[in-house]
Amino acid sequence: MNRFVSLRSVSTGTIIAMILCLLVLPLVDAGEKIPVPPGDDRFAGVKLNILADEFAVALASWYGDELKKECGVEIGNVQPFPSRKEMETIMPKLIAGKRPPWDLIICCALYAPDFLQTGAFEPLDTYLEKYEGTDAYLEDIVPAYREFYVKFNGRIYALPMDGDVHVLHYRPSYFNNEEYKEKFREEYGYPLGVPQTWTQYIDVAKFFTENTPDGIYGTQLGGGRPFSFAWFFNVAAAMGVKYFDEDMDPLINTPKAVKALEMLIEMAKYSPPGVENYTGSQEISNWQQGKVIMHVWWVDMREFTAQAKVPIVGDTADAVMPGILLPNGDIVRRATMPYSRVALVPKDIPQKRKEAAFYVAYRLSHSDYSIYSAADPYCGLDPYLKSHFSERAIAQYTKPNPLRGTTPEYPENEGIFSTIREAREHLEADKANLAVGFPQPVWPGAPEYCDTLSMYISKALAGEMSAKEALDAAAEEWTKIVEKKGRESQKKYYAEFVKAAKKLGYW
Amino acid sequence: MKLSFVQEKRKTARWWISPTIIIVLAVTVFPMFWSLYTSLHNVSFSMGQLSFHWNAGKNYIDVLTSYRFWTGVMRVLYYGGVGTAMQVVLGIVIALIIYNFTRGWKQIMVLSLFITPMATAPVVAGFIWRFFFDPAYSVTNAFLAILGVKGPSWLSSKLALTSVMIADIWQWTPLPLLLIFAGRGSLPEDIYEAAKIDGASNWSIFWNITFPLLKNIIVIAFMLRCMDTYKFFDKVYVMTRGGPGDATELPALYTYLEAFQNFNLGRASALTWVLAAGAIVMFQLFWIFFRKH
Repeated sequence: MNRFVSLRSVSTGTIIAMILCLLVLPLVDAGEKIPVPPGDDRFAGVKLNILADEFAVALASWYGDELKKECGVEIGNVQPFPSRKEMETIMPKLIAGKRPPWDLIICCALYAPDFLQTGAFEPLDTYLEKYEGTDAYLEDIVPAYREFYVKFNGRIYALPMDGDVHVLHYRPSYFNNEEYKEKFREEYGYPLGVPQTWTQYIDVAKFFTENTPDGIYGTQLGGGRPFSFAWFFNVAAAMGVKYFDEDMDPLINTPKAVKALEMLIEMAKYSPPGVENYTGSQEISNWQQGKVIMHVWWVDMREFTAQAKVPIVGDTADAVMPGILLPNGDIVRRATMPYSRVALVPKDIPQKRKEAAFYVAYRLSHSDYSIYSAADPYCGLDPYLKSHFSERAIAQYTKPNPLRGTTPEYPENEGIFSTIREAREHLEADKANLAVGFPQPVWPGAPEYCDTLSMYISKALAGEMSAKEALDAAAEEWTKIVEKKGRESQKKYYAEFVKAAKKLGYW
Repeated sequence: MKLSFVQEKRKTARWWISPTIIIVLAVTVFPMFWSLYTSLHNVSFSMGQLSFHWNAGKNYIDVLTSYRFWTGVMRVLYYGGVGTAMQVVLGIVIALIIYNFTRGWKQIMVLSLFITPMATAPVVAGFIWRFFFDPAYSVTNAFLAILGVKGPSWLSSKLALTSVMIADIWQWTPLPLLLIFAGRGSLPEDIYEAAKIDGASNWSIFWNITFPLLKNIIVIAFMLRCMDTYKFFDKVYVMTRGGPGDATELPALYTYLEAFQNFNLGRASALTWVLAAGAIVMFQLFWIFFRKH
């Protein structure tokens, strides 16, 4: 009763003053950045639901306790989904017009622009401004990933969780074999070595397929949907092929593009049967069983192999992608950058959950945590920060992840490589390929472009269509997609993409 | 005006059945019209807005001029024709063998064994067969290797659709088998006894007695399987997801990919209407054909 009386007795002037204080306080607060970790129970009582693909889901399970210690946040339900099924899993929830059931989403960057275009995600730049050290964090992100995956429509919407680029993997023992060296020189007239051009690559693949026991192949490639486009662009981009011209007319069926696909078809001849349907697990299996002598894959193939403790461990190496030899003797190389992961925070959840979700995403992305994740083969996350290439990061590849133990799902925790030299070579190869990177399409509609092109590439690899027929059909489909998505808006997004690529020297 | 007893009862009855009518309208008729409406529009989502733009039947033109749609139709015809025929023929053969050569508990055991695949969830069956045909771990090829035979690449472009069909034949042959077995059991034995006394051969008995008498059941079995094939989705999704390329992309999967992968809801709705029209025409033709014969 007394409370009511005292409230009524407060003057209008006091109330105005109080309101002004409330309005001004956040501004004052914004000037003082929150330390990281906060050292308080800032998010106590907040239980986050996380959606992540089957690999990235490990992060939530490993680091939940640490995050709780930092700020009181709890990791509640962690929903895994099969990787590459982002659209089916996430999009229906976004367009249903209801609050999404997740507070944080970790998904492949290829799909993120389609999700962001729905307007269902929170811009994160204001959140980054609240914390100490975020400028340094943003500066730490490898420029390519920062330009292509973090920003959308000029604002920061995503934090990187994984950085992907294709790398050439090979088995040194075959290349160092004196008998093979001699025979190769006899047949091809130049020394056997890690291929520097795609023409050499085909020669070497053919040579090994023909000169090794049955069941061992010179190469393999991921010819299945939706990522065979990446293998195509490793060759095509080196020839100067781009996705579209400035009017969004497809450039994927130019004579150079046709030549690139013909080279890919030639490579498929020296690959295990069925490469037109390879989507990941088959390549890993073939490589680990020693059935393949060299191939292009994501950087973590070497990590998966070391983790599997198969006989070929110790006989694998990574190198920069082959390229196209120019008349002046220079070699143009391009390594496609397919996949990668980002974290997104939905807009339509309570503010406190958004704050907590941002904090968790930021911490998981930050090198404090990710330096361990990047070197841990169980989560499939690859370097995306400059600090992931530091001496400390290199050393981490020879040590267990100190932030996690072992569980039935993750039964081992030990360094991937036995020597610093191996770890260094591995990261050097990643860095070298990043330097000649070719970005995957990252604008709304990208998954459909990639899947369509990959489908026709698969058909060409299977011999159902010629390279020209396949690329002409894909280009026709791409034109239809452009029209369907709206030519003007696609032109705008693509111009932004090209601008970023040019800025990074990738175009 | 005072209502008669019958009118009163009818009015009450209408009230009682109205919830059912409302539910039926809500879950079937409304979505149908919504789908029709969607099929005539270009649907887009941007910045939290779902917008519909009238496109005057362009979705239908796109579908009917789409290479993927027509190749899908050709595949479903192959799949439906060969796969369904195999299931029905195998069903007849196995049902009659079981009926004629086993009795009592042995019959029940053998029958139970044969119908087990049908009790497996289609998705699980798909996973099992994917494992059998996996390019890297093919159990089938490992088994063939023991016999000294080099197994093919089951999920390659040339064989993938047939491989999925094999999985489907394994799972669904039991349906015609069960129907035909039950049908054969309902046939009077005295006809068979009379035929035997007249000295008819087994083939003659089958061709002149069993087959004509079971014809209606065989037609029903064939039609049931055809209908399932027309909307076939689960195993293809699990085993190949339409690949390699589009080698196993049947119309139902193509519709799914358009709707839930590419989110072309207008085109996906148009696809469902075209497929529905196709189904109606096809089954009318079926009926006419079987009635005539």
